[in-house]
Amino acid sequence: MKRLVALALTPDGQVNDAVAAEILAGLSRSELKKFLAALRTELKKRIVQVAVAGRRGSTMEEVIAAAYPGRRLDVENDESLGAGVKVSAGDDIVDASVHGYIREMIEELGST
Amino acid sequence: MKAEDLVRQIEEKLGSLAVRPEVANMGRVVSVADGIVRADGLSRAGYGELVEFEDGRRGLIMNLDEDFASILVLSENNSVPEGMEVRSTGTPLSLQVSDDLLGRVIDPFGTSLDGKPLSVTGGSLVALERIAPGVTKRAPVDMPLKTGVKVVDALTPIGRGQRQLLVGDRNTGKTALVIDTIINQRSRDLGLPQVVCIYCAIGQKRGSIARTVAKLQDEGAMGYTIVVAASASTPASLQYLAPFAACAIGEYFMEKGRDALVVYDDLSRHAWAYRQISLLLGRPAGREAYPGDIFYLHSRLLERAARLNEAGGGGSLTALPIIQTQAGDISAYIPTNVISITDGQIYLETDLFNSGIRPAVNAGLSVSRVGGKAQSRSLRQVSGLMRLELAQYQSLAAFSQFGSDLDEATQKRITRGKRIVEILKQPQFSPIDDLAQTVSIHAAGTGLLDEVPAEKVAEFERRVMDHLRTGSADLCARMASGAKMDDATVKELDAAVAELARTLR
Repeated sequence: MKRLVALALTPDGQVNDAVAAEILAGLSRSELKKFLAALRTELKKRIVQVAVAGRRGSTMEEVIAAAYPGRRLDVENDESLGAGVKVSAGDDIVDASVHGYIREMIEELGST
Repeated sequence: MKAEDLVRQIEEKLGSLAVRPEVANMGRVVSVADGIVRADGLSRAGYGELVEFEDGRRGLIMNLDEDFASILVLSENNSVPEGMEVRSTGTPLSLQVSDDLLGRVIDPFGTSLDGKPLSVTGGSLVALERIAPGVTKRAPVDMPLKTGVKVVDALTPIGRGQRQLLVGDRNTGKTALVIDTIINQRSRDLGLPQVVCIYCAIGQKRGSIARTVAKLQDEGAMGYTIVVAASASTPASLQYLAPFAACAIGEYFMEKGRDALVVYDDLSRHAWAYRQISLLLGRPAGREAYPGDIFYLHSRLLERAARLNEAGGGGSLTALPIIQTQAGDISAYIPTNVISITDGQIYLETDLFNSGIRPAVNAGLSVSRVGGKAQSRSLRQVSGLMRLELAQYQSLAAFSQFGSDLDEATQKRITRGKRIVEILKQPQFSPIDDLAQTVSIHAAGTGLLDEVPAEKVAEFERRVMDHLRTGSADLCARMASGAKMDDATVKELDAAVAELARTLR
């Protein structure tokens, strides 16, 4: 499945339409499930998801892009964070938001 | 906590607002099967690392595959929903240990099982899995750990820091022997330092655990004892971790310079729990369906028993693992493994037990590789002779049925052997001190009881110490230290013992 995912995705993270059509037509339901899981894993590796609350600064995006070279940055607004930024790259999450801080504080208070 | 304290804590937190980004390595539950969870992600998690599920439950990473991590759920309720988030913690599974645990019954995570609140203050956070002390940190095993059981202390003495296996079929008195050993630590025989005892019950019925705890309480032994319990009704994960938790607690006391004793009751059930986990993890099954690393599982646990040198604090951790055999087969997989790991074994036999010889220790198959170094000088002096007499008796015992057809020397050996067997019998929960052991064994081994009828040997033993303490108090005082007896002391002892023996003929 990993090889199939590699075939389906172009180096810039786009989907090769012809290969995608072949996959949708040729794979069984169970194979499609496995393909989906492998595709999600691969996309998580290639795309850095950035959630920002409040004003977006170009400097912040530059810093994040420099931290994850060669990966596509997918930036979106998420006001539920309160303020700050939350970066998801692969299975690593860097939470520098007020929402994350409050959650951490609640966990700490709960353990005392 | 008071409301004002909470307000103050929040104010302090908010007052020192320095937002540090929280970095987490996440995964997602893909499949769940009987306490084993497979999760994707967790690319930075390590083997044996503690992970935390979204609902606060914890797990232990047991396998790392290319795309998945297999996690052992560490909770009695192991139904984890598919899709739940799981995060790595970067820490190994640990337990908070301090003197507060003494007298308590806990599970492998340190949660109270005796119905009383438990708050462990001070002490240390100790990892359940640790590397055993290296050779440069160890000292030779030379200080006795008195069990109070004559046959053990005389024939297979246990030293502090030793690993001595108790092996035998069910209902042969294995647990009774270790309970006696724990009870005997109350008396601090020979003026030795107090031993902290940790009794680890693995896969036992809750009723049996409750009976053991009640017995320890009745005998006043809980003050220096901790019971770590994972009963038969708990998930295999808890049964697998229980001996490691008990060992970690023992290590804590050892590193504080104290002497600790850990009883693993029993490692057969521990092996069953690990076999169950391994099969669910999909690891290849080997002999008797046990996984390939079953030997390493027990060797890494038992290697942690040690006597530390002075630089390391001089503490010790003695391990008494128990193995239950099936139909007396000590050549089965797990018994042979543990026999080869330990420094000796005490073999208990059903036939001996049923014939009234209790403790049912088979002296021929039992051995202590530490030997006399872990005995008081006086007991070593008298037990050597008795061992020889007993071995000769056992080789001649089969001929005893011929009675008068035997020559006089053989009949004499059989007579003496019968007295030795009688003197080695001992009721349960009545450990005796080194002095009484030395006197009894000396009396039987040197033939002072040859004229006493075998059925009166028990009576002799009941009376001998009172007889000595009233008639030869000075002799008792000299012998109490456990030092080697000189010729004059031996003569005096012989005379005093013979005097009592004459009254019982």
